[in-house]
Amino acid sequence: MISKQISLGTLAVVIPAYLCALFIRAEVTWHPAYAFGSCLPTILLCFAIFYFKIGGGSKGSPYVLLLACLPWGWDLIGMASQTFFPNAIPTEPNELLLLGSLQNIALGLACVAQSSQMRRLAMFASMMLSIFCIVIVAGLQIAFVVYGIAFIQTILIVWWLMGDYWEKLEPRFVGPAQSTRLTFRAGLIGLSVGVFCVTAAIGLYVAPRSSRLGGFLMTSGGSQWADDRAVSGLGDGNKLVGAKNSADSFGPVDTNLFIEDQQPSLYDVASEVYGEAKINNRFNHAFNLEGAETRFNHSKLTESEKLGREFSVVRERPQKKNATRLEEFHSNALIHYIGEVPQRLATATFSKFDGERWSNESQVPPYTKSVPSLNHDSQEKPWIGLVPRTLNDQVNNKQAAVRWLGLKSTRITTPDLLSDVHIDRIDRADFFAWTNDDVLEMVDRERIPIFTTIKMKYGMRPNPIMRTYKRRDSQSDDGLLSLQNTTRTEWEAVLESWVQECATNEKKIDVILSKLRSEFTLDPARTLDDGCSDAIDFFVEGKRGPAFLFATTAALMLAKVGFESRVANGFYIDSEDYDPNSSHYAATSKNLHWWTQIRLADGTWLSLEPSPGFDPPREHFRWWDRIAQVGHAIALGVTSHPFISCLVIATCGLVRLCRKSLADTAFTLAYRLASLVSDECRFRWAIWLIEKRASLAGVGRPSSQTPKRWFPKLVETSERERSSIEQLIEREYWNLYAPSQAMKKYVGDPNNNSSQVTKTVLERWTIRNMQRAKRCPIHSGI
Amino acid sequence: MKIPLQLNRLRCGLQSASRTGNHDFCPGLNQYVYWLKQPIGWFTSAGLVALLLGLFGESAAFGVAGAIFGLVLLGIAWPAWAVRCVSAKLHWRKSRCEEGESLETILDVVNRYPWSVWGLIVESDEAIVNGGAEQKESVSLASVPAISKSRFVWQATPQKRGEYPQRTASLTSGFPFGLWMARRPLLVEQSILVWPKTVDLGDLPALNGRERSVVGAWIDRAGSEGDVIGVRPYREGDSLRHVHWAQSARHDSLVVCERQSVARRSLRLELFPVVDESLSTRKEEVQEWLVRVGGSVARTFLSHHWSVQLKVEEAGINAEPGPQAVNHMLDGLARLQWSSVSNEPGAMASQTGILPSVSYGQSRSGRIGATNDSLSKGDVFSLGIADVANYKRFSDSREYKSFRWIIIDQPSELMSSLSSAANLWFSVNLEQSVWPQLLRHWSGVCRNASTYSSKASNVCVCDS
Repeated sequence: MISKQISLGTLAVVIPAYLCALFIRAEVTWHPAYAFGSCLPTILLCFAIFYFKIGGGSKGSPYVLLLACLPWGWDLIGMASQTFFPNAIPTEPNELLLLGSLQNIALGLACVAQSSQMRRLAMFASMMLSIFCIVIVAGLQIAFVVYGIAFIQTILIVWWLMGDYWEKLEPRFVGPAQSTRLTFRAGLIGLSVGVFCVTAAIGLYVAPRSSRLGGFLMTSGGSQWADDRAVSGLGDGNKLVGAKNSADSFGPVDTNLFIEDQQPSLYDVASEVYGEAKINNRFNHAFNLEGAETRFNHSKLTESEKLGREFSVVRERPQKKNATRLEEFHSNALIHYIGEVPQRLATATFSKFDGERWSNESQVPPYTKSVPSLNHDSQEKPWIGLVPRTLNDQVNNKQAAVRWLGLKSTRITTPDLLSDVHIDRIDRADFFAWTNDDVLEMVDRERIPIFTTIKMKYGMRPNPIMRTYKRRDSQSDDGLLSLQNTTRTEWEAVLESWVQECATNEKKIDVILSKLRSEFTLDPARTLDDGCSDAIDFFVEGKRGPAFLFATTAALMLAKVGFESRVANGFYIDSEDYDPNSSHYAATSKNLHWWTQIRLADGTWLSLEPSPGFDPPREHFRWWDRIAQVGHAIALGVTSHPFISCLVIATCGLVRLCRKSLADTAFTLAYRLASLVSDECRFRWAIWLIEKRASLAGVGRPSSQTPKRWFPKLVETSERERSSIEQLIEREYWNLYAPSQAMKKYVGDPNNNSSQVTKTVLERWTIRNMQRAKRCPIHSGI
Repeated sequence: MKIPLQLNRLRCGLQSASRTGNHDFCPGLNQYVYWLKQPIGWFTSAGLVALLLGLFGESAAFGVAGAIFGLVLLGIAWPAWAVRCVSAKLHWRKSRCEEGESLETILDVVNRYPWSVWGLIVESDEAIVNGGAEQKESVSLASVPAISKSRFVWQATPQKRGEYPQRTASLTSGFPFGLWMARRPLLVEQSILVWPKTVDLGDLPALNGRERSVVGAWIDRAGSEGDVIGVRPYREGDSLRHVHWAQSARHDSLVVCERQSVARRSLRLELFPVVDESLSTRKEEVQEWLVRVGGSVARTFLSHHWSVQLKVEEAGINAEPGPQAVNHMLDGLARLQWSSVSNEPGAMASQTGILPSVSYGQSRSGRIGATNDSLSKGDVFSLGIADVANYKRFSDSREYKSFRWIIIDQPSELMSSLSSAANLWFSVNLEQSVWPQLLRHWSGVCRNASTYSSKASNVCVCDS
């Protein structure tokens, strides 16, 4: 006769599959009671068979097999009535009846399984049943219930398979007579570690460069095209052979160069992406001026706009013609960038907004602006210093490089906190100057020469918890963003609804940015509808628009709540722009982006990202910043939820006071669960529980003491209780060290009242009793 | 009264249905469908069903198929990797043992990897891995610790003679699911020889026949019996009775006579393979008992310094008395393979007088080949051990006239009718305990010499 545990294990695997099929039948049949009613007798019968078999049924008894066949009878009756009297008796569809047959076969086999083969057959039937159930249940409401049960059954099958395999091994386990640990071969291990370290070092530091080489020998290319393996280029003029993998390499990167008059300016790029500025057909009173004056004004506006000093937020729909103009080139990259990403490279900033048009004409020079000065680094290369040294020391210096390609502009793409620039062999500081909108430019030139590589040092701003922002003075018109419109607009009403709950001004910044990033959608092609006068209201109402409207709205809202703000225009470069062949980030017109800047108390501008889908500017976290951040979050949580905080503190104190009781309860619960498994587990876990209790009581068993000598001394006991714990420990010794056959006799004896012994011991050996005995001076055993 | 009868009929009907259901109608196809009986077979089947359902039915079945095949993959990859982590060597503390004797088997397992390996099984011949009649299961190792050399020791009880391992011993693992068993051969440096079980029969029986065949002939090897063959200087321990006084006086030193010695007494022992087809079910058992009894007899005669020439089918084993004689004889019997039975085993030998034999003895040379056999000269004592059919077949032939016979067989009317045959020593009934019968009959033979004397004087050679 097979053991009860094995039979129960097989049943445990089959029952989930049975339940799956039962739920499906209950869901699909004409009434759930029919399915449950038909299955209930089957279940009862099968369990009766199981009980009969475990209770002493002989192996292979034909009566048991006959009983196992009976559950199919119900399904056979159902199939017969469905076939011969389809409308007479309401039964289930044939498919479900077949499923029911498989269901009963699986359960019947599990109940009568006497041999390993039979148990496996039951397992196979239950697996097939589960598969069919999963297929049938798709689309039904109970699908997730069935999937969940099938998942549990999968775990049980794995458990069953492991148990089945282990059961085969168990009768003839041979323990190791002796086991010696192999000595480490120090030389071999050292060699392995060395090889690993060298490989890791190559992978981490050398590979990004060397993997581009493609060979061990460096080469300048050797073909008419730029070669991937070229390092720094070779030659000059028409004989120049370019290279790709270094921004220092001056040379062609493409076979199809920009023709000079087709190189796009910033204006062209903006027009290509956002469309041309819409002409406002407003009618005003006018009178004729002299022709010369008219020409002067007209040319001035056009020139101003083309230089990127103005930008209208009211624009036409982008024309495809402009887009294709740049697409005609094999490579439409405007600049190449090497450095950390995401990065924002500003080409212009705007601080004046008249409701339709951004301009930067009257901007006040920033505090950080200084006259460029020439410095030399350790390699005697000329670097142009751009900011006072005191500010430079406060930031975490980073290096980046930009190679100028197709962009026709004198303005150098400027990251935040740009401090130094370097162009090879340029040692003249007067080549560079700050524009009045805080962008570096090369003065007295028509454009930056193509393939110029500009190295930059810039700062990454630390992230203190509380930044000090510069507040705007509403009384003075200092040329910054002014809000002189006295009419209350729609976006102002929206802003009030957003910030009315905010306690601090800093919180308002977060709310404005998070609302824009989460509730609004980026749509570069959306333009202002005809007849709509206010672009910002139009944007706020539709909650959709291009990046410049996000930036504009954020800047206006920040100004409204009292901060100095402006918008910036430039290139946003992230990891998607990486070109693995040339190891550069290629910025095209698609990288054109707008964002908002807010002024800090030290006079620098902090970039903020209001548009969804773009990463916020990177910040440098020092370790004390992180600690302060956590502390700040905790303090904020405590102050905002004082009641919950008090409750948590009180709970923690209570847990601290009752920690031993709680731990004892948890350990006891674990013991009770484990004791359900078998007598062996009960003994083992009872000893474990007493060990834990002794540790909690401060009388943990030292390693030099055996349980049999130590535990009886822990509590003042009667002779009977002492014998109980000795009996328990002795049984555990049997459990651990006796031959399995002997242990079976010992454990399997129904008269050994093991549970009573365990119960007596655990009731007496409590933490309280152990502590009392510890305090008792008579108790000298410990 | 009728109800139990009907129940009995029902029971019989179910049993016959069960027999029909379990009958193997196509045994030839078993080799192709055997995998279906294994867990990996039914898992693969379930996976294929799920795959088909996914293809033609609900796509959710693909997930099930993936889970099943993932389980199968894990169940194959884990044990395959586990057995490659360990190397093992199987050896024994001694090189020979006897059937039914406890044999300490040692397995050294080296695991050089930093993880333990669980659930290993040692697969080999039953004689090596089984613990006797009570423990039929193979030896298994719960775990082999990481980065260690572990020694596992168990007591095996080989039940059948032979040279082991007869098939490749391997370390297998199916952990954790038992879906597929991965194997790795074990290194076996030296095989173990399991001798047939023998008993010490003690005395030799009273033998009859010509004097020379009983006590041995004189040969011109220096000894102390027979005629003088030469003289030599006196050595300490020589008997004064052997001093050649005339020569001693002539050389002025003691000179002793050298005499002939007695040649070894020889036993020709022949085991006859079973040819009786009616014994097909117990043929192997009878043959093994032939070997055991033959081994016991040969061992007893060798211990009395007899030269034993054992013949089985067309092979022979010659053992001259000496320190290694018993080992060589039993080694030969342990390695004995019963091949296809020749029709006339004894007749062929008698016609040619040449026996292909394996000779062991003082020369210690195990040579195989044709040797000039003196067995046919009639100066040896001949004993045949056979079943009833072979006894009937050969006992009356001219060549085997001088043979004494021991019959080992199942009880039958024929066997009981042979009990009074003149050249039959005794018969052993296999349905009873064999060893007590053998000892009883053997001591009877030793005790009552006249029982078997039929010709000339009986010379008892019992131990003093």
